[in-house]
Amino acid sequence: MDRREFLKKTVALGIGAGITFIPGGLRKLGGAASAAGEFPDLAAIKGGRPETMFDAGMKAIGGMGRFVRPGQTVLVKPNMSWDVPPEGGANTSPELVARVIKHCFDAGASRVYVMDHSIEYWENSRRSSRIGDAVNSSGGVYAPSNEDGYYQNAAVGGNALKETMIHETLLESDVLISVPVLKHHGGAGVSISAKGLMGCVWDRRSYHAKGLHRCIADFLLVRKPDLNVIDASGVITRHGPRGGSASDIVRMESLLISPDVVASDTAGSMMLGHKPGDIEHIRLAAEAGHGEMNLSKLRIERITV
Amino acid sequence: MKKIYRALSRARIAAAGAVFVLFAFLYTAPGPAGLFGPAMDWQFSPRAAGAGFAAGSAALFIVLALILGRVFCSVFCPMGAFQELLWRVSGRLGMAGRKYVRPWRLRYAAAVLAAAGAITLNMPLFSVMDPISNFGRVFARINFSSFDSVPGTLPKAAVIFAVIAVFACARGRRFCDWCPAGVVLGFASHIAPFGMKIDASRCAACGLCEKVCPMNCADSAGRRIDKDRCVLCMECAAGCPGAFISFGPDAGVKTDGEGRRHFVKRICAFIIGAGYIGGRNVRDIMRDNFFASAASPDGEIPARPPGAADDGHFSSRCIGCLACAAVCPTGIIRSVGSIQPCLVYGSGYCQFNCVECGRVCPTDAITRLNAETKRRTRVALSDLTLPRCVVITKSQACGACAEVCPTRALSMVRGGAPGLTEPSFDSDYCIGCGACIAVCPAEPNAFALKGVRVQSLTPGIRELEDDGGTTPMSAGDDFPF
Repeated sequence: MDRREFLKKTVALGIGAGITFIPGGLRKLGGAASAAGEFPDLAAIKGGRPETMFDAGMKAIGGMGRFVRPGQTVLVKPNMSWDVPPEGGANTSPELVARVIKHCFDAGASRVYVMDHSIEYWENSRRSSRIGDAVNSSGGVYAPSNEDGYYQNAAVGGNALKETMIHETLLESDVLISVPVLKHHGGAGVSISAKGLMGCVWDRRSYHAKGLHRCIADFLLVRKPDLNVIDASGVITRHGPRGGSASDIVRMESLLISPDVVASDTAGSMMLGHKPGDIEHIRLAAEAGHGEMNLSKLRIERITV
Repeated sequence: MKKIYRALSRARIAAAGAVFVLFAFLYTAPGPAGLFGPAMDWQFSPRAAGAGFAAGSAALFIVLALILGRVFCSVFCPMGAFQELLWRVSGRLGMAGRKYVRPWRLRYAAAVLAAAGAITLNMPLFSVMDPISNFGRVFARINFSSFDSVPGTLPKAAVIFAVIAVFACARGRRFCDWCPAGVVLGFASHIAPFGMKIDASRCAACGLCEKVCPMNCADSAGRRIDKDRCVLCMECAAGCPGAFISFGPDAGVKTDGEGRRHFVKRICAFIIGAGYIGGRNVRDIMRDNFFASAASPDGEIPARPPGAADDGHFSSRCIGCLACAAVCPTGIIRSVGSIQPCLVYGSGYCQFNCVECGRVCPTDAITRLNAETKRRTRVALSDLTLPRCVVITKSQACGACAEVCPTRALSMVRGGAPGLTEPSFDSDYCIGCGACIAVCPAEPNAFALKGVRVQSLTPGIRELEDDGGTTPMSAGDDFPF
């Protein structure tokens, strides 16, 4: 191979690689454009089971077809880090996870992954949270996340978080749906959607070493959720995020749905009694342009089921 | 008749092979396995009287040996099957010496050592040649893809494996000659009323029995089979061209004569046998009255798995089989220095609801705790050095330790720079699981753990005062936005 041939091949490879990236990007651009203005920015539902509230909220916000196109792969990212039963408030409701998966398949998703880098031993967390069964019975793929081999190093380019090991299903999926449970967090103040994405990385400890709030906000540079579904049925309002005392749990029987991670996290933090801007990582995310923290600028649809 | 022996020998090979595959799988596959506990119940190891079926299986195997012979060794022992596998493979390759092996006299030294260990409750000495312990030391958590095993054990495992493999490939089941369980069961089978025998009046000393005997205990020239070493594999009876070898009533065959050595062996067999089936009461009496200070009285002691009760209890029972290390979901039970494992913190931590190690321990060194007791059992005590915490040193939010602390011994309280929370530690509730030290991002780590001499019960999960922060929405309220 002479130099000219080498250059030709390099250029050809580069173009080929570039082309493979375009379709995903184009799809995403198209999706955002068509959705603008027609639907509420945030649906706040209360008074029912999480899955029925989700049905009602999705109807208001335009249906799952707005976010998932036929043939796309989806990552549903719940909280299932803790070896605690669903009523403990530390993990997302399994019924809600199952319903989100169902909506994805109804919209034509080819594959739906579910993952969370569990903090306690994954098998125990999978069993106790009952999300493992919910995923299996609804046809999703419970993606293993307990070994570093499932993660790939990826550039983040944030001020605090330059690069990190990210779960392969997040890198592979066309759509990211974040389904956190709303709860208090002793270090981060609150744990909602942006904090929950910490479950997509291998090295949690580096977040704590480099600055928890800044890393949480930086991660949104890699990927913002296309949809945020916040489970606020039984909410750990203090001494979170693992829970352990029934007296810390308040039954809010609510659900928030929004394509805007900052808006949904701001609304969630307000339900926990904070003012917008109180929580540093949400403020940083808003300042970086990841979403709208001023809820009065948004169209909010309140629904009671 | 020969057909029956052939069927028996094949069935025996199949059963022993299954036992080997089962134990090799249970030990190498990391993490909990429901079959492990029941499988360990059928191993010949020092039992705890009163711990259900486990109390009886060693005694059962001795009774079986007293009547028939060493059934345990031929069918139930994975170490025996492991050696036999190597021997058969090397035999195919023409490497194995397939003739009668006169046992080394030196092997009695191993029996004397084991007996000394049984008397002094020195379990590392007692179990230095224990079959399941050595099997565990070779196979526990070995990861063939990266050639790694329970951290800290690989050099030991490699040496043990090399020695066993060399002897097994060259000369059959030689480990069995040294095995303390073999000494006990061999003595029992020696005086059993049944055994394998050669019809000396018809035997032509063709030597075929020597070629097929995995124990190398068939002496064709002498027209006899060493009764104390025979494990009743039936290979000789199935292979004898004239069908002159049979199993039946037999009381007369002696191997080593009735001299002083035989006397030593008999004494050792009794002592080791007592060590195996004496049970908890005998060992507790020995420990409390004679060896109370056997376990290091001064200095730091390592954290033992939950259920180890106290230092003396654990060290006078644990035979170092590493079953606990194999099932530990986070792999923090390790063999460091001593063959008796301890908790090594940092890479992972003891899971709050997990009781797997106690389920598999064959000797009750780790007692079986229910999950409720386990959640309150203190195995070590953590210590927080707050000035090292990143909330203090870097003025940034963290809370990783309080997040994972399952008993809330650690909680976040307002402190550090304005708007931040810093950890507050109440040692009364600490169970020493090591979650805090595993997640702490500070350099050097803000936590240190020390083992406790006696595992005590904590009050459980700490009820925290209202942290007086915000007023959350409640069920009847409208959304606050």
